Amino acid sequence: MSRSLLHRSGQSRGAELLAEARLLTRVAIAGEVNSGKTWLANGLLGSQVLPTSFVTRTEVPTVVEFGAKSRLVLERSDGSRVAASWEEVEAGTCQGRRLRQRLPSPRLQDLRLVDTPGLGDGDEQMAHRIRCICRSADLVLWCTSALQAWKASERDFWLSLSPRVRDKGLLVVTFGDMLRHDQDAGRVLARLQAEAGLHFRKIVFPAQLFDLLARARLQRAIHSAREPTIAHSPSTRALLSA
Amino acid sequence: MGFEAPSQLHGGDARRVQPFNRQADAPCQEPIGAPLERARLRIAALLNDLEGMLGEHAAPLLREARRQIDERACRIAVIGQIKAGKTTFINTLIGQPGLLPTDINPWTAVVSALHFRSGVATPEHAAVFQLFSIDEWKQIAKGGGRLRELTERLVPGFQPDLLRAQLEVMRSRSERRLGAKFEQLLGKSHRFKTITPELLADYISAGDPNLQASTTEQRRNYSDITRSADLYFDDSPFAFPITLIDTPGTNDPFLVRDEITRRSLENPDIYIFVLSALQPLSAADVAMIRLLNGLYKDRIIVFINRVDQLANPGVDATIVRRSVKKRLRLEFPNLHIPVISGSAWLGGLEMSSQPASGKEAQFSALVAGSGSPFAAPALATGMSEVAAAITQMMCNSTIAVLLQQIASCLLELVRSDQAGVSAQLQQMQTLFEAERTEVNALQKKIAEEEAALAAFEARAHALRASFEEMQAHFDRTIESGQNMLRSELRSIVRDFAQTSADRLAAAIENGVSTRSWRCNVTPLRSDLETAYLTAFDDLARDVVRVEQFLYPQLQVIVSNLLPGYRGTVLEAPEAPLAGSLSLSALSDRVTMDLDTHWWTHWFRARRSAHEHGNQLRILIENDFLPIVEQLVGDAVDSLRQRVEYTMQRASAIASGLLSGVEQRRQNVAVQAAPLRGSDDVQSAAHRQGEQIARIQKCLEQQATLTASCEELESILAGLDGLQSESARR
Repeated sequence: MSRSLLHRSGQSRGAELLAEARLLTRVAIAGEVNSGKTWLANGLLGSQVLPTSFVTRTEVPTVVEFGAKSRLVLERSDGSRVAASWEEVEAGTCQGRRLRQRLPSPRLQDLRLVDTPGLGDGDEQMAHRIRCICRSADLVLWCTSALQAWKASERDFWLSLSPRVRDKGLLVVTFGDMLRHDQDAGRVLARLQAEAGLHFRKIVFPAQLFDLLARARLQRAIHSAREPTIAHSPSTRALLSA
Repeated sequence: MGFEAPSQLHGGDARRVQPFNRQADAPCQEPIGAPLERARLRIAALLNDLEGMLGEHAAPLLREARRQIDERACRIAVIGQIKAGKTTFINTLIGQPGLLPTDINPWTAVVSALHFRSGVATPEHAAVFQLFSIDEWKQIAKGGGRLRELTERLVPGFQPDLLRAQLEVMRSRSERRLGAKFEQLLGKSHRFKTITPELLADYISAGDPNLQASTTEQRRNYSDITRSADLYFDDSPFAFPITLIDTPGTNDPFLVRDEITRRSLENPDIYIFVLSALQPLSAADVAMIRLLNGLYKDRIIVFINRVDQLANPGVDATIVRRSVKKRLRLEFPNLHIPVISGSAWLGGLEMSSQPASGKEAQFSALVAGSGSPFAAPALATGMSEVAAAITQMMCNSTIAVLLQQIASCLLELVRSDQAGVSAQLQQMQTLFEAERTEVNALQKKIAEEEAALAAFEARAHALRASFEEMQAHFDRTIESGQNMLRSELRSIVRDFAQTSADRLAAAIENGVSTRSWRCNVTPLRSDLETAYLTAFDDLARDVVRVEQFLYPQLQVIVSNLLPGYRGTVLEAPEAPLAGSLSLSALSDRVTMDLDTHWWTHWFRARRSAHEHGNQLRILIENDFLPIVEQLVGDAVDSLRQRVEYTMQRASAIASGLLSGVEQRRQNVAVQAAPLRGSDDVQSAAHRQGEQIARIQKCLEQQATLTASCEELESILAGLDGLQSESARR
């Protein structure tokens, strides 16, 4: 339903994104509570790596990056590191600064994800940390639920980021599959374009994002096979400003 | 009423409101507000009887009681964030799925009041839409009201681009939808005899912003310039008269109308706070519940809507409910807030006679619990629980208190009349007796009676005079209390402002980042609330003390005047004073409530740490000193109202006694006639007949008054029972 529509509107910007994705390294995923951030992270990783639980929310930022062996490490506030398990995390016994999940996944060779805790519980400290994470990312995915899309509190947070950070932002509309009528996706998208379109590089549904990333990988593979030296080219920032 | 609901269901039977409830222990339910309605109808019937029976002195009180009984409805406001399902909830609650327009995008743009009242004449118009006045529109068009005012105060000269852009969108949209001369429509109200879905869509739906409407379609969308909508239904699904208020969602990025929405939500009796199960109870929700002026009294029901959209509805709904309950207990330990989960959409689906299709069919199967592949527990819509919670809360609301007040006031009037009548009866019988024995004795008796009456009359007049003193005393009490209250609240604000200023200055000097800095005024609000309520309690106690002094005085007079008096009349009114106090001023939005990113602008100004602190102090004072004024004004109003009520009651009783004395004086005069020697046998017989008739009439009156007393006592006992019952749960 919505897919064809999105593809059409997204063609030109999609190409732009492909160019960025070619060198993409750090992706930050942010949004309000229960907006499908972790679900999106798993989608990007292609497997159920992070636990998506409705009740236990992600409490600390989780970094997912490539590692020879699969392991989960908790970084405490004092800088020390300990091995952790997702059971402990879900039980709420893990307090710390961030979680670091290493995985030998081929998808992570060009990707480093940061899944952030949901905004909207009034924790200014955490909001500030999330702003910092967004600043240092190359691509910021802002998740908004199609069922309650783009609230004033979301907009306020997003606009508190600098234009430079916002320019790296994609608005990802999650839970589109739960819409009750076929025409709803188009209507939600129209409203988002009108109210949030200016503040994001592009508005996408997750399926479209996955699709674009897959194509970017393919293109990158072809590219690096043809010109192996370009694989590690100038920084993304330079490319974006060009 | 000419409304034709698409689902062929309309109005009528409240049992439709709870189409199914599979909980085994679900109570057999009455329509919403049934217990209170029974009390209301009994009082109304009694009023009819009493109007002819009580004298002229009671007329103003009876008129007022009649007005309250006839006109007061229970106001239930449905509030919550955008897309929580408020409108769907209302549609299901009133048993008319699809009546108010809903959409996937934020859709309700106007505060609409739905008035339900059975058994009265249909109002002339079923729908009245009030458009903005020219002044209001100018205020919106110029700056968007309060928000603009606040940002301007924080960062003078800073133009909120966003707001300006939104205002422009709104203006040009109105022009596109309504024509270039749309401003000529302002200040008008549009009335319609019937309610149709198209009409509602035209006035209260936000409408599609991208649709170039007016050229292609005949209909025009007025929602941008509509201030409020009133819809009248003469066919109510509820027992008690109820006004439901549907509101645009909070947290809408389109913020132009925010303040107008807030203002039009004046003092509902009950709030139903609708949450989406997918994002239950965010910080914004907690802040809003905190700000609701109902904090002093239990008047909030939380409904967790849209549980059908949870991944695993049967299980997750319980989990969400539990976690919301826990959070509320933590945030508001003194408040009892019923939390109910369910799905208004499913409830509406069940009600609708249309065959379900696609996803709807799938959900219906889930609801029915049969044929579900997951064998999930049947999903309750929660609607019957909500209905029960509303009824229960109504029994404890200001409405119940009001009925109680009316009933006890009537009881007092009836009792004083009753005592008067029985004294009269006794007097007549004594005189009658005396006349039959001998003239001398009669003469003596009459002289005694006249002397007694003169004495009592003097006392009653003295009593009335002392009322004036009493009034002056009340005024003095209120005046001095008001000043104390004001200075106390002001000093709290000043202290807080100074402390915050010092803290900020110290933080800046110590190099703490101001990036995520924000002045949290929640403690100030709660300090003000506590101080305000405590001080008000003290003030109210003073007033009650004066009352308590006044009533025994009245009792002494009454028992002297009326020999038959047994000492149960005239209890000082119980003091439900604080219940009527409004705290809404505390929830006014202030600059300190503005989001962090506004404050980053403020910090950009080059100021020394000390100046920053000083500025902050000034801002806090400018924010809160007007609120203090408002609070003091509200307290004074509330007290004056009470005093007025007390004085009115007291003087009604005094007048009643005086008219009783007058009646007795006339009786004495009639009795005295034979003593003046102008009597013959015939007229003596005639007089005797008259006397017997009068006594008869007195006896009848006494009987009806006694019956009324018993009825009122039983109504009051019933209301008491309802309250303690809901308190127990």
